[in-house]
Amino acid sequence: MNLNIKMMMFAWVILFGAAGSASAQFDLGSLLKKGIDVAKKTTEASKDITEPEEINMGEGIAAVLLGASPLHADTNLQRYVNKVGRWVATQSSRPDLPWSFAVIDTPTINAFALPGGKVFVSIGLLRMLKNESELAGVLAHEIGHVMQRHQIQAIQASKTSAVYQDALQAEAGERIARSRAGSNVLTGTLSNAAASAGIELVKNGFFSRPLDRGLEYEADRVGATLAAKAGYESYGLISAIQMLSTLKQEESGVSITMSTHPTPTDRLAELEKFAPTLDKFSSQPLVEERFAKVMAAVK
Amino acid sequence: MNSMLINLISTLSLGFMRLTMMASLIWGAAVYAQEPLFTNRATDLRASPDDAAKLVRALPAKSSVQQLERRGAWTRVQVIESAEKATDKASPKETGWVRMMHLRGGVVVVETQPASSGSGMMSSFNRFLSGGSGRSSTQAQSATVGIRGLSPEELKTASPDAAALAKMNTFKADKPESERFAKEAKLAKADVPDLNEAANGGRRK
Repeated sequence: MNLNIKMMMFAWVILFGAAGSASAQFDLGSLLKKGIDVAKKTTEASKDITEPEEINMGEGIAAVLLGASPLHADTNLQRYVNKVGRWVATQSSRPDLPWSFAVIDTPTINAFALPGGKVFVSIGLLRMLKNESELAGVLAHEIGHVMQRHQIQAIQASKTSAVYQDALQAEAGERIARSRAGSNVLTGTLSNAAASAGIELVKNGFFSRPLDRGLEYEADRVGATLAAKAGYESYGLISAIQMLSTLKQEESGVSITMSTHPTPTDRLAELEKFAPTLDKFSSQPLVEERFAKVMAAVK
Repeated sequence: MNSMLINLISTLSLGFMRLTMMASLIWGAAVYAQEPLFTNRATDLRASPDDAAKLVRALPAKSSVQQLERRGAWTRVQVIESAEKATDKASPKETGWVRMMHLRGGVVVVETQPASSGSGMMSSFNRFLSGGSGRSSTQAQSATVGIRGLSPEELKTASPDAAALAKMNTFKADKPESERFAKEAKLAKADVPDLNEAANGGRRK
């Protein structure tokens, strides 16, 4: 990337971002209007998105999702889902990501995986599950997407990814400069660059564009493996998909998740190929009691 | 007359199941009324969850069953209708174990055979399985979309909620906590072959 452009962007962020207030908006849109040549940037799109950038992007996307659909109010439920999710994620090849899980308060049946390790499930989906093994399976599928960097690869392949990367890199540079200067850099707060990147990514169809179906089948395979590795009986994800196959058009038609996935029937046919291996782990615990207890308390 | 009766019983029992499901959702009950499933191939109903267990009966494809419980790769079911000739419906509703992979939900394609007792029963099953709904799907969709739905349009116009993100982070579990949580349910790490590697011919992706 042209050093002059980098310096200009760095200066921009220092000028407007240094105050650290939410009102200092890092306007990606106006940055584009200022004539940064997006076409030029596409040649650098092959540069890998780093893990800190990935985590930043995920935070931005998460904030937008939460803007559209609030967190479910049951704190016990949220913590429970986090414990299940964290345990399964620990079995993955990225066990030390800042894994974070949330239940969103929508009756639609949805589950989302975001770059950097944030996973969302809707209360509508949770209510359709029958035990912790099925929940672990659903979460494992999402963890599988993050583990295999499916969405990041899709973003990377898109034309505007280099613009996000530069913005996030500039933001990261600014944070490092501030921490060196001894100022109190808050972690876990939403940076302006991440928020802007999140908005742009969602506008560009992050949630509505389906992944290649091969990647969905891959997430199913990885998910089934992870849940079994975590000690759950191995048919939890399959059972959850089987439940999805019972949904009527009026339920699946309003589900973003279902509109962007292969049909449950196809997914089951793919997973059935591995039944002989899965059978070996099918006597592991189902874990029904504490799942039922948590769900019974949900208003 | 017979097929009308079947139709009535089917509609009533489906209605009852939907009612229990609604009630479960309203009261947050732990018991979930489940949609019936159907066999997607000829399979066996067995006395216990094992390929070598005693055979209760053979189940033809498109038999509809009610799920009772699942244990791993097997589901205990009660046969609703076995998709065979009219005489079969007189036999008691057997329960037994079926391989869960041999079961599917969803709508069975309606046979377009000329009217005979067989296809009369099939059309009843099909209406049973599709929820007895004569509503068009678009009509049904507009009824549900208004209730706190999550649409692509809402997402594209949403503003980031930094406070909610911060709150979400407070729910996180750390590794030691998740390990204790696993122990409580006797979940132990298992050495499972990587299904994805197997699919990719042994190559790690």
